[in-house]
Amino acid sequence: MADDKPPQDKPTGAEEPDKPVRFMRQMVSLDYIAHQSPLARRYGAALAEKRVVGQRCPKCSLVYVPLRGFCPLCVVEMTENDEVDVSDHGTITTFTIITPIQYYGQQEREDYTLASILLDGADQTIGQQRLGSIDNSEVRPGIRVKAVWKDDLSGAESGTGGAIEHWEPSGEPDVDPAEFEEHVS
Amino acid sequence: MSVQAAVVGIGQTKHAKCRDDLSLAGLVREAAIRALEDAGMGWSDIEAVIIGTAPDSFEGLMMPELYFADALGCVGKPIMRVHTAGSVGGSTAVVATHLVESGVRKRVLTVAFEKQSEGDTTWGLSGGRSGGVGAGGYFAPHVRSYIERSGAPDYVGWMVAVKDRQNALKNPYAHLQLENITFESVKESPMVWDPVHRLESCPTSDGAAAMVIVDADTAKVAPTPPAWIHATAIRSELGWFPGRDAVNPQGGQDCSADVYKQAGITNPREELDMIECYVPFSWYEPMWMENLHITERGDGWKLTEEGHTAIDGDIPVNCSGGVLSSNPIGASGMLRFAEAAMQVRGQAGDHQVPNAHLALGHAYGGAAQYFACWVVGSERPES
Ligand SMILES: [Zn+2]
Repeated sequence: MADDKPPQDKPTGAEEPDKPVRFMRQMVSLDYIAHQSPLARRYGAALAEKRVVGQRCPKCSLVYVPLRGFCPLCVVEMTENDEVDVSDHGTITTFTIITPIQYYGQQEREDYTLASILLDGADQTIGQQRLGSIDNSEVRPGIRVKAVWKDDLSGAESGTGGAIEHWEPSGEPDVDPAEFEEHVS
Repeated sequence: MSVQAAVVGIGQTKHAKCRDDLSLAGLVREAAIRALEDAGMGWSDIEAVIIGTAPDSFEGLMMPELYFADALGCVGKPIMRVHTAGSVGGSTAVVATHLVESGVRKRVLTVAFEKQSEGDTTWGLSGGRSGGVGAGGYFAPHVRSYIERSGAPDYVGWMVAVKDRQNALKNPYAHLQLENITFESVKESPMVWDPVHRLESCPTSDGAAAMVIVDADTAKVAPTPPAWIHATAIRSELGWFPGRDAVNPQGGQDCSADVYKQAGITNPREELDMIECYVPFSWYEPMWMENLHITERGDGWKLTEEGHTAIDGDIPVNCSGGVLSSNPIGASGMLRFAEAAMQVRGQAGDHQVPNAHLALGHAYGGAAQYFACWVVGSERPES
């Protein structure tokens, strides 16, 4: 478990009195002002309205989530005119169960699952999405999930993590993994 | 035709969790001095220095190269830094090679390094914020996809973890020296990023690697046998686009196909005597065996399972102990390239593959999106 006090109270080497102290960790608090791109701002603004927005390439019609501003396959720009809403339901393509390392400041205590999700209407997965309402041991590729939106959407500008509490099973039947083999990342 | 290039000096530090006996400058200097000694050269023989390290945020130190001029004997000489994330050690060696092959320089020192003990990689990877899950959290889903689609048994990952650590016991420079590691201990080690166990992942290390790369005329009179550079290749791809195969990335397939073509290799499994590739999590050995065209897609794990990649197998992989045993991130790619060169020079000591004449060095980085390869040989390639 993480300590309640910052670890600078315990200089490295103190547990070996015959050895000189060579390292002293000094924790600092950092405040950031994150300047977001216009793309990230529009993505966040949609999330604040409980919408997931993507961009459809005007040439190949593939749908990108989050907003990317260009299709790297066609090398063409995607603009506001190309924006389309995608579903807040999707399919888990792959996942990992994280055992959180208890560094100072760690907020997580229990194992939790992060999944890659292919949203309905999108051609690209969104990664590192938190799952809930399901045992870690029950998670498998192919499960259908839906977003559980936060009541307070004031953090939506930071992305899905600020707008979506977690993703939970929607109860729809599993999708055959062969159908999303090209969307593992 | 370009100038032929060869490696005539190789040096590395003892890699360790914390090299608190040395500053960062001291660390790079230790590797560089060993490479120069191996080459029978002094600082004044070197015309330019090419260095590489992982992104600055990993060590929390901005542009450390700016203060290395003295430590690397390059006051008044050109110094250049290469940036390709985790593959950087490989890319850096390739850039140094280009400098010689193009005829611009005759004697180049190349150095790559990382002092993880003085930084926090997970913090750096998450953009300087708390809450990151590290490289393991990013790559574990790709590992799961590989296992799912290949149907590989779970113990293949444990086999790689044991094999590479046993190889490391033969390498005095390797960080981890796990004499008692067993199949069981890997399996029983904590599951950190399911399906990746603690002992299936790389350590955090301090270390540096250095090489002296020279033109053919200089190589011919070198005091020890050169490793001739038969081919180099670099590829990169975006880390996101629909249909990207993060398990078997196109960029990696193209990079290795290109390096074989340049080297005149048509059957890499038969022609290569060993491979030193970038395996930070055990499952990347079978994944890269497929990506490097050593086996067909879906068959990589069988190579490991059947023992072909063991040091006495027919295609030994990571005889040094690999990234699983030492991971000074920025240096890790160069250590792969250096091990391949050491092998064809007959310089690898207890982890030497007998009669190794042709070897592949490989590195990857970013979201498995940056790739670098070289093929080195004991014989000078036909020009
Ligand atoms: Zn397109």
